[in-house]
Amino acid sequence: MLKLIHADLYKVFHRAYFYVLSLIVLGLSLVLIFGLHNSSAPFNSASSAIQLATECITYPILLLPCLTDIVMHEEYREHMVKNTLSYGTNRFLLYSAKVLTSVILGVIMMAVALIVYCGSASLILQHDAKFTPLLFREFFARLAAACVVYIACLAMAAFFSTLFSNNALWIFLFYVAFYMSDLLLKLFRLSGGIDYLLKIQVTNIIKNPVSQLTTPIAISLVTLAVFFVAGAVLFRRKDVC
Amino acid sequence: MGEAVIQTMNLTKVYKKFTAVSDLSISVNQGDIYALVGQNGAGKTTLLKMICGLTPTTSGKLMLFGNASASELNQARTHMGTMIETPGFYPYLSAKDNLEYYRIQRGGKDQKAVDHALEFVGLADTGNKKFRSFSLGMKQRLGLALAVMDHPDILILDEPINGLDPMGIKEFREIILRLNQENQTTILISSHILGELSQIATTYGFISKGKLVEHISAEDLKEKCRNFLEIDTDDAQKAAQVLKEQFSISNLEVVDRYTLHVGEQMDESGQFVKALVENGILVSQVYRSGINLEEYFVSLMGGKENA
Repeated sequence: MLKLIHADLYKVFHRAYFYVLSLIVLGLSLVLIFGLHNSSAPFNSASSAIQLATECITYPILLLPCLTDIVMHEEYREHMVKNTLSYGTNRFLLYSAKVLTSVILGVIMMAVALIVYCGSASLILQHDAKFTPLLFREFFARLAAACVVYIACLAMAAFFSTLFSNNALWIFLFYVAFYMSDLLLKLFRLSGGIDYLLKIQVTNIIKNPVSQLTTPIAISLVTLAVFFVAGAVLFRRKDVC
Repeated sequence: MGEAVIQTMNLTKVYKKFTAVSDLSISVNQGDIYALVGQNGAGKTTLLKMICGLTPTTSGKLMLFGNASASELNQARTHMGTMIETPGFYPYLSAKDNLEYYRIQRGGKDQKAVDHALEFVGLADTGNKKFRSFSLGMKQRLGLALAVMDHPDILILDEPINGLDPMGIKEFREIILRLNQENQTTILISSHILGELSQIATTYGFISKGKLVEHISAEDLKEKCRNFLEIDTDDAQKAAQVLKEQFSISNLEVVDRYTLHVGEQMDESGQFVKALVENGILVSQVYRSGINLEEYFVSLMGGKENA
């Protein structure tokens, strides 16, 4: 599996796409910081930047299909999966490696964004009384919990990507599944299931006290497992060419 | 003749209500160049995909190097190089980067394997040119480079010369022959360009509507496709006797009461006619005949379908 991941990272780092995506994320981070810098008190403080980052925890999900696309779906689109499978590569290993690679790329992108965001916040914005280690600890605790949601979303994206060969369709379904599942459940009078949706877990991670992050993490882990297994089973039976 | 490296036993593939491959059993021996011949939609690609593990089988058994379990088949496939349908590569990477990706993925330790493979297929000078800018011939060559990069014992090629110009076809043929003769690589190749196959194949498998219609060696096929003189007479049996006695012909076949096929001394047709007439046998016509590979294929497929 390490060889598969290594090869995927080699491919990703040999094209501009990932760097451009990372630059966009960097740029957005800096735009936010400079926006705060140019606003009036108390918004131009470093603690406001951290609070804003907490509120923005849901937005990285918008970028996750991009990672799945460059790691996994592109191989379906360019008819390349056959090259790997015909060499005898185990399908489950290949699928797992693809999901893991997209997680690694997400971690890299997040790390870069965080370094730039937090670093520039610390350098450019005013340090107020609320800018304490406790604030950082809480933020990173929420972010760590959100990471489980992100990985579950990547598993969901991998599942849809394997299910549908059409690029626009699987990405559309991913966004519908994440952002509109609550509306669909209400429509079908299944409101009891809303509390288990990933979108709700993200909301809870942002809003609930840090001591109550265990439940969203557990629900996200279950969702991750369900979509990962479903995707792996689907890939195992997929007719490849 | 070496031992069997690829064996299928009653292999079947059914897609919902459509049977693509039905009870197909073939055996490819080590060192063979096995040509899989059939019309479009006959099941050639489906069979190759099953052998390569790209599509699950519905029933039947597949053995590679005598191994049949799923894990053993996967291990055996590491000794296979394949090119199934159109080669697929990353459009934004160069030839070298594309092959390097697979070298890393496969755990290849030889850093020069990529350069050697590109040199072997004549793509060493492509530099940073991206795959998306390659011509069809170059794409086919890169597909072949990937297939041979790890020095496979078996090469599986699905319609590798489609879209190539005559020069490209010639070069492709020379590469295949070199691999087979120098490295004893077993080659399973599917195509419907029969003229090309006839120049390289040692064994043929004719497939129609998912079934194996005929399995035949190149020598036997050559024998079946030989040229002959067809002599139409009023008494073929008597004519055969005369020709045997006077010309010592052994390669002779009485087709029916009036028709005779002579497979040797065909330049002596004038002498044959003279001898037959002198013996009171009426000769209505004499002409050269025979079937080529294409005609043989069409006759096997049962009509004037496209090859």
